[in-house]
Amino acid sequence: MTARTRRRRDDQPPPLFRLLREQISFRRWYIHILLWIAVIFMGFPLFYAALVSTQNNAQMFRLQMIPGDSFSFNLQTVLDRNIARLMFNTFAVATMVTLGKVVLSIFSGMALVYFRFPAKSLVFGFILAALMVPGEVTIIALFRLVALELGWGNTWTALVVPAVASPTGVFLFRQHFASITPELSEAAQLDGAGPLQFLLRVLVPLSRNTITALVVIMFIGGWNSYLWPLLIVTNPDLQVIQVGLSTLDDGVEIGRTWGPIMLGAVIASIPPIFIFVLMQKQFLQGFALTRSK
Amino acid sequence: MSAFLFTILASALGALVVGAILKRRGRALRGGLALGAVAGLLGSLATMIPLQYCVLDPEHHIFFKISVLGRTLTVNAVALLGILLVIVVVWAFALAIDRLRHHWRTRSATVWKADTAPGTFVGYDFSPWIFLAPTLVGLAVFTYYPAAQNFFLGTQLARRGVANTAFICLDNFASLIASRLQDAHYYILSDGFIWHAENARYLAVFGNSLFFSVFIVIVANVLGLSIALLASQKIRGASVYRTLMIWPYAISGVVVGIVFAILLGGGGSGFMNQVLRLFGAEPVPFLSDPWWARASVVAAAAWNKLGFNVLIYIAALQAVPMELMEAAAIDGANAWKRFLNVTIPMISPYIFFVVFLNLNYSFFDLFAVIENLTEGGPVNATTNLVVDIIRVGVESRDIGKAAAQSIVLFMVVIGLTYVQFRVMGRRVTYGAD
Repeated sequence: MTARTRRRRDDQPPPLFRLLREQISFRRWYIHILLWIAVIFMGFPLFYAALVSTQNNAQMFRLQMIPGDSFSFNLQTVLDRNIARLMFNTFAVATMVTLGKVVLSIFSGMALVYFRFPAKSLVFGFILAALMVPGEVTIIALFRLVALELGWGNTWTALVVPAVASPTGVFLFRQHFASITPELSEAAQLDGAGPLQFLLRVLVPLSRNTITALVVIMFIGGWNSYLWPLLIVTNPDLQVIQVGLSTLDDGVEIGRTWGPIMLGAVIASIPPIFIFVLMQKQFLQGFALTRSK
Repeated sequence: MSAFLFTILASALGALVVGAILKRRGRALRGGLALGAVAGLLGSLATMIPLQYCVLDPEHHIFFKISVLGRTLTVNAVALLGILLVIVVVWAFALAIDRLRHHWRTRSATVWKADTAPGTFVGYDFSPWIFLAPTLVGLAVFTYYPAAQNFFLGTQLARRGVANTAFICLDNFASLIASRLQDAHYYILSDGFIWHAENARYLAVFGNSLFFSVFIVIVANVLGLSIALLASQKIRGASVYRTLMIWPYAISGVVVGIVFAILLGGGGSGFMNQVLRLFGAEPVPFLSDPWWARASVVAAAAWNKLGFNVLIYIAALQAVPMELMEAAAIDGANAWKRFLNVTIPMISPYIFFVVFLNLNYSFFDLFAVIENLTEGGPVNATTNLVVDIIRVGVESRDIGKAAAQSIVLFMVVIGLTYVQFRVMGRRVTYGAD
């Protein structure tokens, strides 16, 4: 670059957009390196778990950083310990909880937006206030209620029914329905549609994104729930994977056999990670919806 | 008789205090006195009738001793808690009555106007209730009833699996900070300041919860924002990096606990210590030293939440208008100053959002991580409020005491929510939306 052109550039105000861009492109290579360090840092724990799932204890304690030869043994162990049953149970319970939450929330959201009834704001307040009561606060009394008073101990009813009423879901759908123009329901009423028809033909198709967002959040939450099943279910045939993980030991070696446990941990993590990565946009949107007034 | 005296005393004190406070705020003295008297009367009755005035009974004596600068004070914890409870309830009554009176005076027709929103279905009187019934019943039975039941169980001697209970006043609460045993061990917290053993244990559990929240929030947010700053740059493959970093959010607390247990556990032959040995470092007692164990829990939890924070912060950073950055650059602000004075204020709503979510997570959702990483040990060093509730209520079968602890936890929720509303409310007045 000659002195002449440089001077001419200095005379004009520098195009800042390009200036910032250039700065960024200059820094590019080390941003990539830092990001790869972050990616490795984030990924390492599960990568190591996957590595250990192919090893026996001796290989693990030798700090062997290549796959070991015990994968089939570990797989046989977790299958003997009925991991298939645990995974199926978890899938069934999480699906039922998610389905229940979505359906009940849609109906409640619809009632709060498309109907006029006395004490509506009181009802909405009643639902919203439940957001302030985390499950951990009520867990002791809930345990007493469900196990002692209702006698639901060791049933899936105890896992599903207390979880299906969802203030988050109601709030999500209420906000979403309120943002849909009222002309739609007026037009539907002019065409003679009842509330159920309007719900099925108009609202549900319009709410596909909100439904997906809620499904992702609720399914991952249901899949990962641990404390409640740990307390209420003791029958191994009905247990969920999160509680069952620590029972995946082969029971032969002294101390814990880490290979099968890690294999179980990896298997248990695949469904939620898969759904989360696939649906991250909808997930984020769901959070944005719950946040905005 | 003493119950009668107690009520009169509460009413008189309420009148004096509320009257004085309202007078200082420039309100009429007589109104304040009347408000305080009514609040004192109603508040003390509302508290003491369910408790059957038991805090006045001499049989409920659970003491704790405090030695401050050589003097030993013996305090009856039940009476102290009872009086504190009455003060809080009376205060709440005073606020509520004042708010109601204000509301009554200034209410206008618009406040109570019937809902005439367009687009509502006309002529369906029962449908909304049918639509709402499952949700309302579910919340009433499985959220509100247990929450209310906590207040009942907290005053009872209740055992897990036994239907019968017996009223024991505030003993469950008092035993959190005091002990029936007069000559139990003393913990010395610092010079001249001695606290009773039982008491120090619950305080330590509370302290663990605070420690976890503070450090998880700091670590997960500083790292999360830093990574988001890198990943939101205009570089090739930014979305790939994002996907590669956010997935740990979907992993359960159990898996996080187990995986970090093999990374950090195993004593000197554990993974991390073998790696440290390669670099010639001394082995670190990750899970057997109290402070290292706490740090391990923080590391595991922060790792779990980091991806989510990165996701939110990237969305926040992409919403910062480029023109603002350019304007700051024209004014001569360097990158650090632009970050501090433009980026941070612009994304501050997101920062509050993420901080409060992380706070809630670290107060309430750490059970699975702790249980599978340290099991609350060594010697309760990583036992937080939720883990302790399960220990006491399920493993030691003391439902009453666990319910009392649940109520303490509930107070934490209310505190957190209050702070959140205050902070968010302030943001709304500043915000342009």
